[in-house]
Amino acid sequence: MDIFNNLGLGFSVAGSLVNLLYCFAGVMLGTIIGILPGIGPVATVAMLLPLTYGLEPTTSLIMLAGIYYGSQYGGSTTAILINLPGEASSAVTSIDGYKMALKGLAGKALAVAALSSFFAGSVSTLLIAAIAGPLAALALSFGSAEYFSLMVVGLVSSIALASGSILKAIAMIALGLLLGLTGSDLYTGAARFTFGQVELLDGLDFVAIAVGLFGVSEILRNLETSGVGRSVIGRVKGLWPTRGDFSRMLGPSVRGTAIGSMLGILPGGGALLSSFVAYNVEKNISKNSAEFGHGALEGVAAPEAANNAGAQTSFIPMLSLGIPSNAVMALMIGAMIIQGIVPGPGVIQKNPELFWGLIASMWIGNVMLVILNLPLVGLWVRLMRVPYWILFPSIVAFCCIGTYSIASSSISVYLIAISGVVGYFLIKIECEPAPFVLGFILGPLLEEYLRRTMILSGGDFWIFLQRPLSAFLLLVAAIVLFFVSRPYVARRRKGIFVDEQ
Amino acid sequence: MQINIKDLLSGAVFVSFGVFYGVISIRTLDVGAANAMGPGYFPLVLCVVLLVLGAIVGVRSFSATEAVHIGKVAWRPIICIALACFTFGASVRAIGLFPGIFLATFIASVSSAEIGLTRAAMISGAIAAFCTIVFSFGVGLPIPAFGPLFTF
Repeated sequence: MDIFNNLGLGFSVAGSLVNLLYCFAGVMLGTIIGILPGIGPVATVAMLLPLTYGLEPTTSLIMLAGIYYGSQYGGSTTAILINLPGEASSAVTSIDGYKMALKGLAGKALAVAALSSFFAGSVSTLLIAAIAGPLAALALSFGSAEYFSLMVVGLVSSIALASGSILKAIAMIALGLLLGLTGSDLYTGAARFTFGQVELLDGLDFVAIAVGLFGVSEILRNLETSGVGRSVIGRVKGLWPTRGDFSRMLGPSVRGTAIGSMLGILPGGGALLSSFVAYNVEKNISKNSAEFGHGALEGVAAPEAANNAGAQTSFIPMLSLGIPSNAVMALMIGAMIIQGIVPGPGVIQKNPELFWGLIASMWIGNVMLVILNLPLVGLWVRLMRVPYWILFPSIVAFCCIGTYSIASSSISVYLIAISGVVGYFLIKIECEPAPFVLGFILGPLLEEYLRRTMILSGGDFWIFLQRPLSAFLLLVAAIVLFFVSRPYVARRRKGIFVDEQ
Repeated sequence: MQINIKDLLSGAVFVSFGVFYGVISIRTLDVGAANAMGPGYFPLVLCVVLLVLGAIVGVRSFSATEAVHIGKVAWRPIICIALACFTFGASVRAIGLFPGIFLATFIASVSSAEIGLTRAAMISGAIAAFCTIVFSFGVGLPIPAFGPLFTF
């Protein structure tokens, strides 16, 4: 069968000693980068791009790809251990993952994250092999109206990320959208909300804000009470998931993989949404949905599977259509062009060993990552159990260096402090940061698609319902909103009935 | 009348952001119309949403079922850690990585009254040394270990 021939070709290419070596180097580097708060895969891939000029195109792509999905693994490590998502998509993992760590289940959370990521990686490898062609064609039918509606689905899903008041969650999303618009306007070049600072023309540094909002505010929270002599992470009870945990993990991993694979294919930020949407779906379907937000295993497994699947399937539009899903993909396209390969519909036919070799190496990379990460779980947990007075200054130091080094920008470092303090207070008044983060990331995208659609339709808002795919997505958003508001509405109704009695 | 202080403050935060950014949008950006959205259109819509939601949350806070208060606020850590970051950001270009990290971690360590000054100095030195070795020499970040101010 064709798929086996292709995979066979892929594995023979990926299995060469050189490619294996560079794959290992890539995933190792990616893991380290993911763990360090601040320095992300974009910066690393950019820095290492020149090093790959002398390599074969397949080899260089294998290494750069390894860095990318390796960083997803590393990013979840810090998200779970110190509530500091190393990557945008790891922000969701920190919601339940960190709560598990506080309860002493850090090892289990890390293992669940690694295993469900591996499951997703394996399945999406097969998926890509089976349906790369037709899927790319489907993605082509997404116009700006459909993208806008998809973003709306994503935003509505993020309401589920909050366990508190829905109105405040929506307001936080709106706030995130608003602050995400900082920078120069896409269509007119006007400087928005930059207060005269040139460094803000590219927008508020997301890494700085995430580091401050999640990491620094957590440090501040921990410093409220005295007792820095002990560690914050609970005493580790068991590094490995039990049999019962495995059966709990399976469903969320499968669903997360499906969601991530579907969303990752969409060029233009689909992979980012995948962890958020997977979390929401899992929260609504799960029998343990009350536990979500307080340390539910499923709340780690689903987004982890989704973001790994999304990261891998986001290579499809890059390779088959030449459209990058995110900054890292754009850099890869650059790497390919420098090597003389033009990404586009012809790549799968003209350079099969490149395409399938890359796919196969992704699976090999996942194996390497699991082998690397699982034994290290014990080490990480022991490291994090260091007394807090050693831990928190180190975190502050790493955050400062990491964020400063992205663009040698002092403003980013100031931003860490500002968002840390603001985040601390916001969490104190029960305004949650997770919906804010999603709004922040999606803000510019949402607006771009909205304006483009409006320009194309001449100001007619009905176009979102006239186009069938877009209408379908908006319906999905409405359904999600209904499900999300149900527990809240039920609670209020119960409250009213109790009062009446 | 029971007041939910958390919700009242949340409402205030949302309303203030809405007003602040809304005024900026109207005064400095071109709002445009639906079929030709200017840079100020979408921000203005969001500001209105924030205003409305903030007002609702704020007003509702007055009819809370029980009074809710904010817990302890960690003022000393806030000041220290914020100061640490600002010091680093402002000085690292001039004094280099090692002194910069040393200062930042020292100031951050001061946030806890339990850490003595000697312990703070020790941990700052250790972390600064570690970071300099790993980042300046190991990873090769373009931040000098000791900046222009230290070269003679």
